[in-house]
Amino acid sequence: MRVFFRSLPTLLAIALAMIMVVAPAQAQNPPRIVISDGVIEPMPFAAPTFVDEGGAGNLARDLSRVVVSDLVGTGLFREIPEDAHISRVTSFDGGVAFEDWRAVNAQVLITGAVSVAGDRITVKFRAYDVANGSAIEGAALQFAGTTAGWRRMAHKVADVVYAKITGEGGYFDSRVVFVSESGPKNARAKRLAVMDYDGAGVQYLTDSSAIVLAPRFSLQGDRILYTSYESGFPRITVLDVASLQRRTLDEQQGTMTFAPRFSPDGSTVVFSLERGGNSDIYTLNVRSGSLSQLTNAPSIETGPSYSPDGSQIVFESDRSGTQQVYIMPAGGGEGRRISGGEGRYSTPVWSPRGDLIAFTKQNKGRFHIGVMRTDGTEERLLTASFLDEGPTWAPNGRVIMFTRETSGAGGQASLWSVDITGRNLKQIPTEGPASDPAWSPLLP
Amino acid sequence: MIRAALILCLMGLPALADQPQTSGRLSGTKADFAAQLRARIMTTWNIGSLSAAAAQTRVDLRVDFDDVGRVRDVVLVRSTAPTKAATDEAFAAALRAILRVDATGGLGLPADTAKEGLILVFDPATGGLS
Repeated sequence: MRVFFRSLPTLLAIALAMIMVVAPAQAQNPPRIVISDGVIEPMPFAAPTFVDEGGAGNLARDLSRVVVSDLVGTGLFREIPEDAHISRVTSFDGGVAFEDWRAVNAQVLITGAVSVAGDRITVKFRAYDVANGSAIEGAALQFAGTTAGWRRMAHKVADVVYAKITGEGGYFDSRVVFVSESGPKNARAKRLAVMDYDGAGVQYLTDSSAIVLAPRFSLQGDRILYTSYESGFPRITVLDVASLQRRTLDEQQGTMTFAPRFSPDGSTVVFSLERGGNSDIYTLNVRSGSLSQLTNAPSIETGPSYSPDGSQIVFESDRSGTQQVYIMPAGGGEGRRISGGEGRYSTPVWSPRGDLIAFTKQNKGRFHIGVMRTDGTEERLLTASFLDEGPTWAPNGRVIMFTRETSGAGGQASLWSVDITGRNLKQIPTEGPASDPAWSPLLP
Repeated sequence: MIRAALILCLMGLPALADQPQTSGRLSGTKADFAAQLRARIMTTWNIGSLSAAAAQTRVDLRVDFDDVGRVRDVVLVRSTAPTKAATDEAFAAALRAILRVDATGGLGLPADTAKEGLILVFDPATGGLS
């Protein structure tokens, strides 16, 4: 990998000079300096309003602002406001005055253009590394779709830029299903809703005639599992996202079923089944309806979550006397306890990267969202409050969303997110109280 | 910024991480230059947005200079990254750090060092985050 910073004629001259001067110098071992510490600061970037190439009107500005909001919202980027820009971008294919962008300390420049014809919108963009004055490889694309989907296009642009600069997968073009709450705390109405990851575009999936709990997306994003009290008892229900058709998965008399979650391939549902006061973990083959019991203990086993490769299940159990986190093979078997600290651990969720497990921890009267490695080491508590619970992973495994509830009779639930480093804790805007978030995979 | 202890450059020796941090072989001027340059690059090397793999990657870059001491050529000499993507990312972050310093009037090298070029080793593992 090599980067030059001068014109071609100069380079040719330099090449000759290098043969005569630099090459011998290389053989003499040039001075070496080790840089071991850097700074952790949001990367400054500029994103001038995308150029309107016809019919875009306010969409060009709105779309640009969503791109900016996505990037700034990660805590890893800082926008250089448009009124500080020296250059004005009036043509998508015009040259870039890198000196002007360096002068305002932009490290990344994002330019784009939007055109609209009828209900079709086309968005194209490029990202530049301002320091070395070149386009960032792979960060120049074009998307087309309906004008109704303009926010998704903005999220897609931001995903590409984010992925190219951070090396992580994006997560902006994703949805979150959650429980929308209304009414007093002791008689709260709950219904399922889905929204963009940033709280925009809310759609309600059920009415509030029956309590609903713990919605979970399939990894294909096409179905949502949840627990419904429509029959008076908790029952696992599956909802088809496209048609909103729903059906109850099992009807075993005298039992209660809850905490469902799909296997990575979507063929199996793992859940907790309570019979006669004892809860164990079961799987149900979605197609055949065959049921398998994975645990058989007098204690409460619940909260199962598959590893990304589907080979293992993490779950919570109070078999040791307090709630702790265990891992077992996906076919069942002896669980191996991985949590070892003080307090009670619950709602474990395997990271989509496979390297971490997020959990809720209760200790000394406080609730925390935390992460640990899959062998239980390197536990890190990311939050602390009166009540934090129910973590869900962003598709890239870098961000966690969860429920935070305030204390007292008037206490309300809300959705929050935090980076796995514990930075960038922030509330997700919702119209009213909200709980039980579950992140979708990246949308197709 | 994290650890502020200055590490001196070792002329013509293996990576500093393997060496004592003081050396009688350094002249005062070159040691001062190395310490100053290192401190300047530390303020421009932004590792906050790196992926986990890139944040644990050491990259060695050879930097060559033109007649007036400005950066002319940066070559990746070595990377410990497990993937090309992590190498690219670590290289890009290191390159940005060098160029941001260069954009403020150059790296301020002594004339003989500018002729020899420079190896800059970006190694988060020898510093660590706090």
